[in-house]
Amino acid sequence: MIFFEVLLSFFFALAICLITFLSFYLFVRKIWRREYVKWDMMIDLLLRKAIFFHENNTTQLALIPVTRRLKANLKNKRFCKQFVKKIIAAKRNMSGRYGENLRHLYIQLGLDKKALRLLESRKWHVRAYAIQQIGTMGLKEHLTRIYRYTNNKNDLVRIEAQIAVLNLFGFEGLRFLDIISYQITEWQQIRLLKELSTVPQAELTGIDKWLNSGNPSVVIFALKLVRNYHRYELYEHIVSCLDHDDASVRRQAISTLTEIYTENTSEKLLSRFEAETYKNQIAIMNAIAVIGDVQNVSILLGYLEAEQHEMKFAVARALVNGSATGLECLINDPRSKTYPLSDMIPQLKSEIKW
Amino acid sequence: MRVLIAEDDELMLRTVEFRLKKDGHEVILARDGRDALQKIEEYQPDLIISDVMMPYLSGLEIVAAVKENSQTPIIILSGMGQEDIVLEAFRLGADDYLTKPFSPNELSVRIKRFAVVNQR
Repeated sequence: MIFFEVLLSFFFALAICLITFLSFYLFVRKIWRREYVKWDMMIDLLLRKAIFFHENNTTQLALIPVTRRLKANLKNKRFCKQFVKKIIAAKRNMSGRYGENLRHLYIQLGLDKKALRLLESRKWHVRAYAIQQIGTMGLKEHLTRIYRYTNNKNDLVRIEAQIAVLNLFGFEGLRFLDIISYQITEWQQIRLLKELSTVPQAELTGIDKWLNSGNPSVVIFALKLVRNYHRYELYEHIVSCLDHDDASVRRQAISTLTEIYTENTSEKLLSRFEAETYKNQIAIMNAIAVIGDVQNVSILLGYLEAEQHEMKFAVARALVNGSATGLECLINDPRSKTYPLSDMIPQLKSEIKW
Repeated sequence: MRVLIAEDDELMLRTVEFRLKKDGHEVILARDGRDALQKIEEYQPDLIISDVMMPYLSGLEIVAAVKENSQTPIIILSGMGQEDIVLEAFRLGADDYLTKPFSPNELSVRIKRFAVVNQR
């Protein structure tokens, strides 16, 4: 009986503690929320003044007026974090003198020095955030401090550094591809290409060097650059990538050739078909369907013997799209009367129609 | 000219508002897509400036809804590298676009162009 009483008291005490803790937590949250609303208004007002600062002040070196209260608040970690978040978001949206004014304010408040101190943090996410700040605020003078992070062992720090360098120097920033030893993941490549799409196009040199890199992910990325920016002068380099040891590099080279090809590209691809992996064989057929110009239709007809439906369909599509007589040859082939080719042909005909 | 700005970023909204008021326009603010559509119906603005990504209704949906039964000019604010979205906006009937980051001056100039057409 006593045992149950003790147990009940224990749970009761526990419930009281929990309720007290939750009430206290919610109370603090409520105060913080009110504080954030007040801070937001204060920060927005200053940023707005800063954005239009040059319209009222003709002197280049004039300081943007900042209230004493705001300066004092900047010593508060939460306020500072909120301020940095807002000024970075605003800088991303403003260009020209308006963006420059925000950069000017950022430096005037010593936030650049804070960001540089954060770079030395042991926590990777703090370092990544500092790098992001330097990149967005366009602090080119700190390139040397962030450049070494482009080959950091932590992939999130690495990608932030790579993007920051692109932000600061555009295509020239791609020089980090000369030195990186870590792999650039598919996702990182997408982010880099997206970032490049936002910078003004300039002379893009060095791709030939990256195509010979010992890091396969750098070669793949270089191939994507060739494809996206149509660098026809690198055609022979791309063809030589078809002999690369890494199958994914060869696959990317096949895909790149669908964007820059000559009259004998299809033949070159077909000559490598037998020696390729299954995935790459499919890629070759897809490429031929785009490039066309198949001289020897009988070779393609031979590949219709493949067991996998996926391969059969890829070959049939290459035949139909790759040669003027392809569809006719396919229909005249005795196998076209039987499943699955009998079902594939109507779809391929419809594709041509559209 | 009466201009409606639809933008979910408070700072951007206020920045554009500041610039447009300075240029002598009457400004109506909307903080999400739904709010924008309600205010468009209520105030009948002469020009609409809309962000693409907004809660409840996107900028594209606003363009589609507005152009269904009026000729009110619309300027779309899109992010860099969103060419597909811009094309879609034009297909739906948008009249102009600005890519972020942008200069409030540039926006001002574009609005003036519409103001001239409006006066005619």
